[in-house]
Amino acid sequence: MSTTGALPLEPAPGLGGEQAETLTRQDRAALRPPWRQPLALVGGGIILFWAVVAIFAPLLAPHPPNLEFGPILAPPSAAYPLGTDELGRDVLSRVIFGARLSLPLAALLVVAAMSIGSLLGAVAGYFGGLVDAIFMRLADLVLAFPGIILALAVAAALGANLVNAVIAVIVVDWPQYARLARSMVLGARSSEYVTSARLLGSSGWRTMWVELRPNIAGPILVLGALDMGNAVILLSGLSFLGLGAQPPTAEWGAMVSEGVANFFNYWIGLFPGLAILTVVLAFNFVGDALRDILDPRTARMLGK
Amino acid sequence: MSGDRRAVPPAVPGAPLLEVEAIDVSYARHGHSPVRAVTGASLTVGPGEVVGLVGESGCGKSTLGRAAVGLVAPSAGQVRYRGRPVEVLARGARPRWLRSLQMVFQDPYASLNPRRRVGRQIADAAALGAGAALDGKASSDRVGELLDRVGLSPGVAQRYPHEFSGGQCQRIAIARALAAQPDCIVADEPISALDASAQAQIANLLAGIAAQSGLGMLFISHDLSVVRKIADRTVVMYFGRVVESGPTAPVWARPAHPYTRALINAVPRAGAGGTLPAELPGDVPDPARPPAGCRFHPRCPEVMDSCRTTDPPGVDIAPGWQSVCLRAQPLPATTTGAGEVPGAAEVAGRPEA
Ligand SMILES: Nc1ncnc2c1ncn2[C@@H]1O[C@H](COP(=O)(O)OP(=O)(O)OP(=O)(O)O)[C@@H](O)[C@H]1O
Ligand code: SF4
Ligand SMILES: [Mg+2]
Repeated sequence: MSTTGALPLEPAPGLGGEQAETLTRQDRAALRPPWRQPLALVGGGIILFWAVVAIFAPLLAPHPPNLEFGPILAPPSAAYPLGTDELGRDVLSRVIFGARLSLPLAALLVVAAMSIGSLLGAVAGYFGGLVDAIFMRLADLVLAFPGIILALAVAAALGANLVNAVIAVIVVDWPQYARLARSMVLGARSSEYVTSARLLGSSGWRTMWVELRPNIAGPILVLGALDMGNAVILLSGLSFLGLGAQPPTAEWGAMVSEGVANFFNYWIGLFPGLAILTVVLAFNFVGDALRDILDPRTARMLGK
Repeated sequence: MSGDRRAVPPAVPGAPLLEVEAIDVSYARHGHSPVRAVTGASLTVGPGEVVGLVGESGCGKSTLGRAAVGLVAPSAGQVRYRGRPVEVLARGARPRWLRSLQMVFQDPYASLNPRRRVGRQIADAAALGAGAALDGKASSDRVGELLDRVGLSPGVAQRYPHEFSGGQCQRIAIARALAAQPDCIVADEPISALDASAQAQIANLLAGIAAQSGLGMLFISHDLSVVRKIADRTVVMYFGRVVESGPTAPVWARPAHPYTRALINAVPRAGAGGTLPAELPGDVPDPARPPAGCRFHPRCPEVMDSCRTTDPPGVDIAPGWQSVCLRAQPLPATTTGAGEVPGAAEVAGRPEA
């Protein structure tokens, strides 16, 4: 201990060396943020547009969605901007009210799939062993089927209604979150900040929740944004096939299906179809831009 | 310790603070024979003592340090903290009595959580160490106090690790370790990742903490000159074994083991260098096939025939000073420095000797 009193090690005062290390960390800041990329802006604008439509649907729609009042199969005109369907309902009003179903339900199921998948994946990655084997084989099993086929089977087994369609899509959707969460937890598990927390007395669960969660949340949220379009397609796909929303519910997929039945009255299917298309594209634009701000290694884990 | 559900082994009065006794550590490898990273290594760290652990890259320093805090399990031997066997970290939380045995890592950025404010990380460490959450005011006071102790302004608590330099991050990591009120810290190359000025500052900070609060420190480094300056005792490892250990000044003045001599000779006399690996003839042997006899014999400049077959035992050079070499001779009780032992007079003059 006698050596610690007068140390001959002289710290050099005011050297810039320590600051130099932080400069390289600003490389990522050079990337254009999403709010300055045109496609992301267009996507954000479309999402905002549909959100406003959904919220103010009763004010915006000229008629109630299920009111059979007009001429049957009238083409678009000044009175009925998007025409009427085979029961004389206003297509515009139905498309507007359809936003109240597709958007919130897609958001709900993405949040549910994200929560379930990330939790299972994080637990599998952190604890490994049997838990890992069981959860990830389950995920592989789900991923082995084409999404829409499995969703069809699950929805058919549960019974044809909108709630069951949402459940079916969650069943199909969670594994991608589990995989991503697992791989990120595996990467972070042996990092020294986790080891430090464990040495300080943090339990496995606390470490996962407090230390790991903030580090894996970003990429998982980006995956969620990318997944929204997919969720809208799957959900309206099930309704299109008659396993989701039932008549007379104004749901975009079900409306496209009615449009197919009235093939020569293009407006019945075209406009709800366009609604689906714009929503899906918008979420993909935003998701892609968000993915670009992640570091390249994580971005690769998100695929595409 | 009352809140801990597990039974706490009885304290052993008079036991050394940290005691590593003849441990072996192997790493399993897929499709290969396991690597024996540490073989029969022993060391002790007492209160207020800085023990420097030096050796070439890959000789097992980190493995020994990680085994000392219970991050890896020894396959033979035992690690004891305050006389109680150190539990190897498993799924559950580390027992409360072990939380005063802490570690500081090499890469200061990797050892702090990048997504949490540094103040939160320190406050959590304080709460975990105490076994109870502190209320807001007490917690922020404590964080401020700890930041102050490592030479940072309490105002930085709201920032994230990437806003700091490497040296500042290492200070924060030290503050976080101190939050658990440690009695012993294992610092694994805490300065190697820092630039020159920060290296000196952090080494001084750690040595000062050990001196002021009487905590024991195992300071792992490949920088011999720093170890010479801050360590009370020096432990030299070669290829998984401790080859020499003793008070720093005499070991430096007249190293008893040929490997220690080679290391010290490789340090430029005046310069600030002295970073391992030193330029020794020959290569470090393949860990899977350790040489027979003395592990250093293929590179030893003083090799004898018996070295190739006989595993050398530890020889007490003087009390608390051991060398694992067939040529090692105990010092006569009254050394005058005459004859063939240059530097012995200097040794006798030092307080540590
Ligand atoms: N997790 C591991 N799995 C397999 N082998 C390992 C592992 N960690 C270390 N080793 C091997 O054990 C030996 C000792 O490694 P260790 O990290 O303890 O050395 P070190 O002295 O700390 O080296 P350095 O100065 O480079 O940090 C080396 O041969 C290394 O390759
Ligand atoms: S035992 Fe022999 S080979 Fe080993 S260090 Fe001593 S002299 Fe050298
Ligand atoms: Mg090491």
